[in-house]
Amino acid sequence: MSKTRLKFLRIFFIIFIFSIIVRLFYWQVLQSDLLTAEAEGQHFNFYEIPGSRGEIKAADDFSLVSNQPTYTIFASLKELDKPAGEIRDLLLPLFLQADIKEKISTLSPEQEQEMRQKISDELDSLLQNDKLVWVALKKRASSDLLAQVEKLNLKGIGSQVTETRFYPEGSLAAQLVGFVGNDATGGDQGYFGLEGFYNAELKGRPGRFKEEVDSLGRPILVGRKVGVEAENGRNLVTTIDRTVQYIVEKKLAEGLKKYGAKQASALVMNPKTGSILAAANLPAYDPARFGQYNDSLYKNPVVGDLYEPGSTFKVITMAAALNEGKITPETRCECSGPLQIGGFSIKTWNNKYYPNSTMTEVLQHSDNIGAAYAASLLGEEKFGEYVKKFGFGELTGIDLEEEVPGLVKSPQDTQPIDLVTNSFGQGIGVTMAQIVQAVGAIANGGVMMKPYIVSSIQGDNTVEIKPQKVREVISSQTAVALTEMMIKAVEGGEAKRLIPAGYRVAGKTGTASVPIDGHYDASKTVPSFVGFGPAEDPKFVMLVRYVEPSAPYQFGSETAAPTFFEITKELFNYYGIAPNQ
Amino acid sequence: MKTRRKLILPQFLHLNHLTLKGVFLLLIILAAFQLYISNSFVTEGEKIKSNLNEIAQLEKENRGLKNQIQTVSALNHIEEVATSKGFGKVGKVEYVSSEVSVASR
Repeated sequence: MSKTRLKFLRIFFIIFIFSIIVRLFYWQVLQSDLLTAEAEGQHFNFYEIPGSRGEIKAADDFSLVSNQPTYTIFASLKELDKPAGEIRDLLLPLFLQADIKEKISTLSPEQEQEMRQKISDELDSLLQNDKLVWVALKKRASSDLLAQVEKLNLKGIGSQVTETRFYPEGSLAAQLVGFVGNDATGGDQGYFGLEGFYNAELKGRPGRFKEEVDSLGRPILVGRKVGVEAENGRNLVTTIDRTVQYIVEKKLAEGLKKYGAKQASALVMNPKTGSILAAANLPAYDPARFGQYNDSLYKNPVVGDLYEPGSTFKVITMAAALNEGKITPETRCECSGPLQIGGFSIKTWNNKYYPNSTMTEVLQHSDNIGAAYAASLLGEEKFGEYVKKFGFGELTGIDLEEEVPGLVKSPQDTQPIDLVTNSFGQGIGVTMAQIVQAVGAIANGGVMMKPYIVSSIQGDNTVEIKPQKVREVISSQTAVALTEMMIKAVEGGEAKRLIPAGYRVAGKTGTASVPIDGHYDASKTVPSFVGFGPAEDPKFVMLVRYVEPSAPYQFGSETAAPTFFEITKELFNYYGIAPNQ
Repeated sequence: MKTRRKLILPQFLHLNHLTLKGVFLLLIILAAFQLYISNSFVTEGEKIKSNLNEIAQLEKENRGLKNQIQTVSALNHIEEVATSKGFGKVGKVEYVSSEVSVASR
């Protein structure tokens, strides 16, 4: 009997010891990672310090884009001491009010009700989520909203500070700076403009720390603290003169309204350095609320839109012919009537003809026949060479994300009619940046500069960006002769009444028809004016362009030229340039 | 037969009773000091946390002030204020020619 009991006792002990071993194996091997993590969680505090995104500054060091603290309001679901429905009812009016305030347009009662329902549903699904312990209830909340939520004193509802972009000048230069949205992982990502082009430089790196804490979660002074410091993004200092940008945007807004155009754009560059002083486009959007605008507004038309330049391109034709010695400003063209070529009849814009015109007069009258004559003296090959030399058909290299290279036919695709139409700016696709760069070369004695916007990238290693010469496209003598022709084109052309008294401005109007379904629609135009001033020592080269202004404002001399000279007048005052006549 | 070996210690370890007492006392003092310092350091955690919170608060305030300065220095705001105070735009700037005589002193 006692032997049997002993046997049982032995078996019991064996099973007991075995179960202890199994249990130990379970905790120490199978659950090792979990327990280690839990222990770490009790002994250490893990936190992340966000790295601030770099600022974008104007040339005067004023921030066009900086950062502001915003908050993620979250719920620790296990800590909530009130039912989800009650918390939802308390938060709903606050969140709704904040969202209404954010809207760019006023909401109808139905829309407001719809928004209320949407927020309510979202809160319900977040607060009743059994699978999560932490949920973000509202991202990018303002400090006002946070203060209101904190007043409710709800257990389990907390906040975490984050940063969002802040635009002190509102939507000034919106398409130039771009905006910050989210990438696939929910992190910050710059899109369009400088934010897109310089995303890698602007993006900060968050710091992550592990710090030993006591049982109450307070840091221990002599405890271990390891981690990686946060790294702020680098600041960009641009060449943008915010006063010039402001003047340009104001004048464009007036023009857009007056001429009933679909779009108004302007680009101002220092021809000696290639530094962009202003790049404006209207209608614009508010980059802080980019999501509420049509995404067709995001792209910067100054570099991202192709258009047919029309008569502004005649200065390129003249520059090439002058530089090749095929013409002089006094060379005369028969120009007595329409030009017949390949079954097409080429006419002037107003169907008026000026027989025996000089090349200067051709520019003054914006005579298509005269431009075609100059191009014919050059020939297809040379003309094509100069088009390429002036940078058409390739990227200017400007530091903006959405730049396109333009559309220039290759020599093998060129027909005889193309030489004629290209000579007065039809049948060729260019960007505003290309036109400004090319005309800037004329203003700069024949030397073409690379346009650029960022002059310095500030950070641990500050990088200064210097002006870059692209190439000498025409001789300085050609540039001087052409400048004189352009001055006379303004003084003897339709824009002469607009010139500020005592100043000499070189320029050229342009009015291109818009190609629609394989033909040009005469009722839809793209008027523009390109020029530089003061002509004897240019401080700026500027292109103003409207897209599809309403009748009767169809031509460059009626729309873009007045805006160009209004801006020019202000710029002469701003730069303190005295008249010299 | 067992022989008892005498432990030979270096000279400096030949301590008398009084010295041993002194060493013991010193150890107690050091241990107490260590205890006090460790305790102080641990309780300083609260102070660290409060300092960190204060730093965060000041940084937030600083950022807020910077943004406020930027907002009021924005050109549209300046123009708005200038207009409300009766300032107008310069119409035409008259430049004084260098040929015109002006007082030199």
